[in-house]
Amino acid sequence: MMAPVPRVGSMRSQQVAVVAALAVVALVTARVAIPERAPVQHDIRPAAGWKTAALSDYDAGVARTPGDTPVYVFEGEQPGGTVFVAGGTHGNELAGYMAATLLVEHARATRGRLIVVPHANNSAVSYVEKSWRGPASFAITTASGARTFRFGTRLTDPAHQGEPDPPKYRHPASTEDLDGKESRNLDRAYPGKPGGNLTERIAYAITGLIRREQVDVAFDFHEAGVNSRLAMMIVANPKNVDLAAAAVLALEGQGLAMKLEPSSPGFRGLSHREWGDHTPARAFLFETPSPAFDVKTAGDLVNHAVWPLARRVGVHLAAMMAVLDACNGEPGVRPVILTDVPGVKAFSRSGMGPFLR
Amino acid sequence: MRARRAGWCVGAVALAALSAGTTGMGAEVTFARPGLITAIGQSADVNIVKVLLNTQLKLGLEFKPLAQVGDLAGMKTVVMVVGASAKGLGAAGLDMDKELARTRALLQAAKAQGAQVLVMHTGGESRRGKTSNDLIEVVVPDAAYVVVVASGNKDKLFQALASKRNTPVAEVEKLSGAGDVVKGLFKQ
Repeated sequence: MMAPVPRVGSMRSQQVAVVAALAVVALVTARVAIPERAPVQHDIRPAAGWKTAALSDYDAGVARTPGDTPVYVFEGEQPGGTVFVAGGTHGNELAGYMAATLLVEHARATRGRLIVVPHANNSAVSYVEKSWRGPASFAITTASGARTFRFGTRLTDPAHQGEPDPPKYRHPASTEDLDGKESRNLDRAYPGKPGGNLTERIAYAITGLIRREQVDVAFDFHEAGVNSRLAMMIVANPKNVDLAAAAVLALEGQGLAMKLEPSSPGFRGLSHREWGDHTPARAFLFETPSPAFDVKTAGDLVNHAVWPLARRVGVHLAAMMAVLDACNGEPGVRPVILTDVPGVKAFSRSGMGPFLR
Repeated sequence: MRARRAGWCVGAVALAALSAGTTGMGAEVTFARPGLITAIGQSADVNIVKVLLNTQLKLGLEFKPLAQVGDLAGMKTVVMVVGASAKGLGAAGLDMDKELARTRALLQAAKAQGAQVLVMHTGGESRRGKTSNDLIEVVVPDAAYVVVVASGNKDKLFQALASKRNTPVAEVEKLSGAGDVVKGLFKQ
């Protein structure tokens, strides 16, 4: 039986379809040109036993860009699970990256692994916005003297992004449009895109890290305005919301009243949503109340009367430990035991200084 | 021995009620299983109550945040965790009209089959906006017992709504206190 001869019209439509498909492939695989520039360096002094890697080890797309950032790893003597902590997703949410920094300088794992990226969006902490009236750095007195830490901004530096902001930004899986500058918000870019703009590349590398290192529990440390609905909140992927609920109950026993919210199904690109959906990790985000969001009170970023930095750092670490306690009690979860993680009371007594090197 | 144990139980309930600051008929109300936990307003407070009642107190209640009338079949207790979340309602594909309708239908079904309603409000002040209040005003008058965390009851709305039927209201300072009260309310 002879094969039917295709008609000219249908051949032409096939050619059009092939060209269109190639165009789509070209668009999808097009690489955004990111300016080569060394990432900013931070004064982080790992305690004994910590090893240092780089985010670019997980995706070469961030190598030699301002988005590359150190990855610190502590391997406990006993085998167990892996915990991942991201600070500095937003460069102006200082309790997040100072809590992560403190883990690297003071904590250790006796069972399992702890992986910490103190400045997840290193570009965002490399500059301050023109509208910011406060200082671009802050100092903490430690036994080794005064140490200075950067204060940055919420978004990737536009000069690093590799492309201009679109008029509107919509995450590919989202149902709503955001302001165009949100395309530079790391916490709207997960799971990320290889070869995309810098923010998408950072997100892709972090998702890759979580996947490759077989992370069991992942935390993203944030801050919100003192009067924001989000302040003192744990946001959890729906698959692990009960673990967060157990943590809320445990934290109440420590005098910390935290709220709970599951990730929204339609508001996409956020760490707790996408890490939990795209990897096996149980994903959590914490929000502490930061006076730095209130320009009237942001003069001193460390010594606020009600919410000093040390207290907010203590809340992050207490919430992390409460979630880990809940996870360690779950059947089938590879346990992780962390030690030398100071509690809120220790911070209240002596501030952060004694726990930094 | 059994009488002594029963005495201890009554004592524990009375003590929990006393320390919780109970108004109304107090320790006379008890709840039976099987029971079901549902969210009224779709806030994540229902997840905290689930951990409190099922993981910690091991009450073994069914968990259906979006329970429908059919889910109440055979239930002797319905725990309604009240507090509105716009995000939660949106995620569930509900608006306030639909949630109010679901709530009223559940209350009617519970009444028809003789199931008792235990209302819990654990979200504090942040769960006391207009939408939350609209739901509270619907559920509290039909409750057999109300447990509320004090920070969500500064205006004593719960006592005001419960007073019409002399429904006991246990006001607790903390979530853990709510667990203590509920523990004493369930028959073994």
